[in-house]
Amino acid sequence: MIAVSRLLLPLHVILIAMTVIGHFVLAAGKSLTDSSVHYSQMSGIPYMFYFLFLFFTVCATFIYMLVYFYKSMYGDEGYLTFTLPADTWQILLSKSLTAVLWEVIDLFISMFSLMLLFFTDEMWVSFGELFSKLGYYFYREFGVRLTGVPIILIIAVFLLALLQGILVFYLCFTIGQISNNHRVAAAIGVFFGINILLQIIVTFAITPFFSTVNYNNTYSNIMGFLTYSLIIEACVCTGCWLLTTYLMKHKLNLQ
Amino acid sequence: MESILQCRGLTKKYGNLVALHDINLDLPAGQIIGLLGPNGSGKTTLIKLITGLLTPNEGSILIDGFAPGADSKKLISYLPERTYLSDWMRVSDVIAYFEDFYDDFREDRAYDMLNRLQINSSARLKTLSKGTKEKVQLILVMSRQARLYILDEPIGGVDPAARDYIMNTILTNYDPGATVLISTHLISDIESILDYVIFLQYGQITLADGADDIRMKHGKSIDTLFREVFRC
Repeated sequence: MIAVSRLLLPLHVILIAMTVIGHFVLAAGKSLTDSSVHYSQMSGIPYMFYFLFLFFTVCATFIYMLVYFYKSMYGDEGYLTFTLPADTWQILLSKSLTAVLWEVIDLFISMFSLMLLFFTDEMWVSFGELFSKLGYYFYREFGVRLTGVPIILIIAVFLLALLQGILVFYLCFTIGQISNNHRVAAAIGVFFGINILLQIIVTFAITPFFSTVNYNNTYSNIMGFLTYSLIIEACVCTGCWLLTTYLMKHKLNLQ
Repeated sequence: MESILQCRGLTKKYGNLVALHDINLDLPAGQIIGLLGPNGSGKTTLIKLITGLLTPNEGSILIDGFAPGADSKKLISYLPERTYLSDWMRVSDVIAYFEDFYDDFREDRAYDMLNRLQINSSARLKTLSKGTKEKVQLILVMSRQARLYILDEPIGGVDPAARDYIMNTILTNYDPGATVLISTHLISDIESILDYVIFLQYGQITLADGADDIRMKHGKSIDTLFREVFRC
C-alpha cells in the first residue's frame, strides 16, 4: 500500500489542490459580471490543463496499479514476494484490495473534483432528489421502503466491475509469465483472448434475463439487470481469482 | 543422517532446453553445503525449484517434510542472485518489513551487522552501491533463525575484501543445526568452510559427498578437482 501511495497520493493531492483553486477562481469569476466574456475566454486554457490532468490521473492510477502488480510479482521484487511465508491467495488478496481501494479513491476524488467545479446550486438539489426518487420507485413497485437496496446494488455492481477489470489483468499477467520469452507480449495476447471469451460468456449468461423483461415495468427491469450483472461479475471474478491463484501456485515461472 | 531436503526425480525444462534432469538428492541437516558447477549447469534452477519460484515438470521436493509453499518458506532464508528490494525503501524499512513477515527474524542481529559494516540504516537503497545492497540483503537473510539458508552466488558480485566479511557473516550467524546451501563457482573462496559438496553439470549431479571424503578420495582440493572436472 505504501509503495503504491508514494506516487498516487501526491497525484491526487495535486488534483484536489487544482480543484480548490479552480473553485475559488470560478467563484471570483462569477462576481465579475461586467467582464464575464473576457473572463470565460481567459479560463479556457486552465480548463484544458485541468481536464488533461484529471484524465492523466485517472489513467495513471489504473496503469500504475497494473505496473506495480507486474513488478512486484513477476519482476525482480517477485523473488521477495513469492518467498514470503504467505499463501498465494493472501498475496493476491493484498494486491487486489490495494488496487480496488485506490481505484475507488481515484473515482471519488475525480467525481468530487468535477462536481465541486461544475455543479450549479440547482444541480446539487436535483442530485439529492435523484436518490429520493429511487427510493420512491422501489416503494411503488414492491411496497417496501428500502431506499438503500438499489443504491447498494449499484455500488456492488460498480465495485465488482472494478475488481473484475483488475483481476482479468492479473490473470493475463499470470498466464503471460508462464511463457519463457516475451512475457508482456504474451500477457497482452491473452488479454485480447480472454476479453473475447468473456464477451461470449456474458452474452450467453445475460440471455435468460431478456426473456424475463417486462416492457411495462422499467424499474423492475433495471433491478433485474443489476442483479444479473452482479451474479455474472461475481462468477467472472471468482473464475479469475481461482485460476490466478492456481497458476501462481502450480505454474510460477520466475526465471 | 537427518535430511532437510529431499528431491526425487526432479526435472525442469525451459521449452526444449532441459535445465535439470532426474535429480535425486538428500541434503544432510546441520551442514554447510556447496552447490558447485559452471555457469548454466542448473544451480540457480535447482535453488528456484526449492524456494518455489519455479515449478518442476516432473518429480517432487520436500523441505523438512513440506512441499514448496507457505510452510516451507517459513523454514527457508533465501538470498537470490539479484536485488529484490524496492529502491525507494530505507534500510530500516526493509528491516521492519522482514520483522513483520518472519517470526524468526532478529532485528537486533540485523542492526548489529549493519553497524559493523557501517551501513546507515536510514539510507535509501537507491543511494547504496550494488555491493552494499547485496550486503544489506545478506544481512536480512542471515538475521533470520531459519532451518535452511539458501545463498545463490553470495560472493559473486563483491570485491575480494568483502568476500571475507561475507563468509565470516555466514559462518558466525547461521544457527547451529541449520543447513546452509551455497551456490557458487568461486570455489577457492568457500572451500574451507564446506562440509558437503555437490557438483552439478548439464543439469545432472555428478558428485555428492562430504568435503573431506572428496579430498581424501581424489587426493586434491575441491577447487583443483572442480577445475579438472569442468575444464573447457
